[in-house]
Amino acid sequence: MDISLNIRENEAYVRSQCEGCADIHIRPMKLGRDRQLVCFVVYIETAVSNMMLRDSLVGQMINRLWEMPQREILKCIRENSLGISDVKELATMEEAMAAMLAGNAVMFLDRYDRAVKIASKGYPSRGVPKAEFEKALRGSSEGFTESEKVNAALIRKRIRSTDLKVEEMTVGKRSQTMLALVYMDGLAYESLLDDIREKLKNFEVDGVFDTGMVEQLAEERWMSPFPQFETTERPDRAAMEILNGRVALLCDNAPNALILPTTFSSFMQAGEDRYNRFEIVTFQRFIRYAAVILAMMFSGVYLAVINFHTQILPTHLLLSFAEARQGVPFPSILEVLFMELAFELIREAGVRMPGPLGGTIGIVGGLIIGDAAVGANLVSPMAVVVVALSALSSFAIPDEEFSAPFRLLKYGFILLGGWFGIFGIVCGCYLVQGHLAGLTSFRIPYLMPFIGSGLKGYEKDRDGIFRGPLVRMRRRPVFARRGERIRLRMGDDAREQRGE
Amino acid sequence: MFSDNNRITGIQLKRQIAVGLTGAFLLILTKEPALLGRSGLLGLLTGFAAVLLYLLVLVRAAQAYRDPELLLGRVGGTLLRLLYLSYLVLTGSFLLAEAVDMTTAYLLTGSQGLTAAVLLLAVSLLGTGSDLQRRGRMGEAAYPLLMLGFFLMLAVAAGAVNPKLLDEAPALSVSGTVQGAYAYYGACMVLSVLPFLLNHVQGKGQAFPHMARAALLVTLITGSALLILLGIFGYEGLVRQETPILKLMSRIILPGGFLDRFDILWMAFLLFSLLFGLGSVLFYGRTIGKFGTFTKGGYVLALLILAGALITWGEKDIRSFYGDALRWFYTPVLTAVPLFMWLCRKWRRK
Repeated sequence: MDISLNIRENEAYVRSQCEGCADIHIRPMKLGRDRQLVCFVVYIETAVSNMMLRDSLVGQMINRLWEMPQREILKCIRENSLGISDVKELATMEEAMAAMLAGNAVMFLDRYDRAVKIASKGYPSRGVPKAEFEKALRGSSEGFTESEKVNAALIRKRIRSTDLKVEEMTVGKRSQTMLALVYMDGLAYESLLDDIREKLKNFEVDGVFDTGMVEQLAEERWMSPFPQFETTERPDRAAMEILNGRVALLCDNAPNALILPTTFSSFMQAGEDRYNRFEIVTFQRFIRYAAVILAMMFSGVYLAVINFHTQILPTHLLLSFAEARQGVPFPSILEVLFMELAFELIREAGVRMPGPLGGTIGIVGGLIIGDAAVGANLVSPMAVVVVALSALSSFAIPDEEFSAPFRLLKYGFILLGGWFGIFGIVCGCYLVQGHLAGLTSFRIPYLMPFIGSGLKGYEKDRDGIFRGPLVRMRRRPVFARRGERIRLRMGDDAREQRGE
Repeated sequence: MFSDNNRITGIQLKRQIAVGLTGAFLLILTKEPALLGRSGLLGLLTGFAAVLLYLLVLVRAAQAYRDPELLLGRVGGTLLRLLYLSYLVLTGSFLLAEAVDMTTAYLLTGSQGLTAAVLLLAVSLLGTGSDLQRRGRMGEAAYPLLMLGFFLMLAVAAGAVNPKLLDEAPALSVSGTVQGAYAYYGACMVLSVLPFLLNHVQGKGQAFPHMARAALLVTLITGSALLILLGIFGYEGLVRQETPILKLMSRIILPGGFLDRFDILWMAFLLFSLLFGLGSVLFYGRTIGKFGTFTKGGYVLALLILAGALITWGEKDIRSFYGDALRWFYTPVLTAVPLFMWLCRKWRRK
């Protein structure tokens, strides 16, 4: 609906739309030196506060208009001769309402068929927080916040280039949530961007309140427990991945960014991997991959060995296993399942408990339940050790979202190992590998870089399990456009590039 | 940007051949009498040379397999598909029967053959799927770990070889070598289904080197295993063993002594490779028969393989029949068919 020249019609429309919205204020005014020009401003109370204060953009503007002769006001608005940077004219009522709901003040003037959007501080949000879940010993501690604009700014702070594009769009029929695609022009494949835009247009939902919802609605294989989008709460990590040719997806109200495309190996990289020396990072990555295997299979293999293949254990170890199980009335599969579920309970309780209580619950709960269960002959000490090791391994996986499928698959392996021994474990491995081999994330195979070395356009980026020395990591990974793969130049090459 | 183009790379082709064949060859060929001893080993190498020539023919003939009905007419094309399908069903049944034997004897002792067979078939069916690229990626990802496992196990086993037992093997003979070569060449007939896939390999011109490398690797691993078995059990001992490869690791002690026996690990590697081999048979069966994974045709194929593996008549089962069928029918026929297809296409083009 176009904005009318008659302010009464505009006001009636806005009032009808905002009926029952106590937080939306409609403030009629008469501007000009002789108070003849009728206008009104519509805004959300908490998003546009202190309107009349001298230092507020809106306040400054209205104060100036107050003093002008009436005939000059419209001219002044039309030409933005107030010189306010973020003033935008809107032609339709829908645009005006959307701008108001986005946290701006919108001004309507009599005999003027445009509304004026005046940017304000927007919705309340907390300041830039510390990254809580991706802690790093080295590197920035800044984390993303709930404002998409602030998050985009945090990335721009790290990549001060106009090639960094921030493409905004809204999703959610009712929530009208702002999303932003952040990428480097020239590095990210245009076809990837098209695919992402297409995926985002592919659903219509009432509301989107977190990146997790976007992720689940846009992923290719929604039945898979493996995440097909990577999440990060660290702006430095997001910036680094954008420079690798990947795309960050920011969502209003979500304190994290989605990074895509995603591969298995990218989940195994921690934010600070680039800041540390390659030897230690490689060693840490080995530990993480071992942790994946242990988290998924250790309990199952333990059951397979003690139930089916005891011959592989040396006699003294076998005897100590048998001794430890003496007096336990349950079959080993039940005792492992009991301990695993008890651990999940403690974990869930720890996550939900406020503040420092969470950690305490974890330690105390684990100690007490483990000790009491062994004391009551419910489980053997060996089962406690196995479950604890498998739980510890799941925490060594850098991405919590990525460790979840392994924690889930662990139960499958427990059943397979407990019922079918090593045969079941091998079958489980085969199925998991088959599933992972079938996954792709925006056409990039999930198992890259372990596969695909023969694919056209593949170049080794020395960033798999082994992380090469930084001076040797000269190429961007496969995500970047083929002609733009050089990331690092050294010596004369670098000087030549700078034109020295 | 990569695309889902229903194509695999040469490396993926090589790796899936190696992963699919190694386990089956280790399990089956190490008990093939024609391949035991010095003549058998020489026969293996001679057979490999013949396989290389055969691979060349397959690469040449690949175009003709793109649409056999177009080349041979509807009846001819259907007959060709039926020939390959019958071979795949028999091979699948044989492989499944061997895998079931290994499973019930060593891994799931005391379990029913039917349970093991159904599990093996279901896992290979679900794990491999009918997606060409998925199977290619699976083979590519499994290859390094599996080959490293086989290599390390064989390297450890090589330490237990007794050179005297190697000397005791019978002397070389021409007939023994020829028999060995034919047996190995016949086993490699599983490669005969490759032309149906070669049209989906990136850079078809480069397929041959990858196929040849895969064949070389499989030959070397099988040959090494035969040599090590000969050095551990001796010729006479080897002839008496039912499946010597499964007992290979039972006599080996790992340095450090933290595991008493690790033949279970060896069998785990073999089982993985067998599952992939079985999955490959199902995959090619579905490709050649143009069946989807979860369609009637796909189920019928799986059921035929299951039935073939489990049905016995008197004292006989698929194993007493498969060797002869391969030796006297499928090896010559599957050698001639690609040559015929190649020539047919050439003639048509003229």
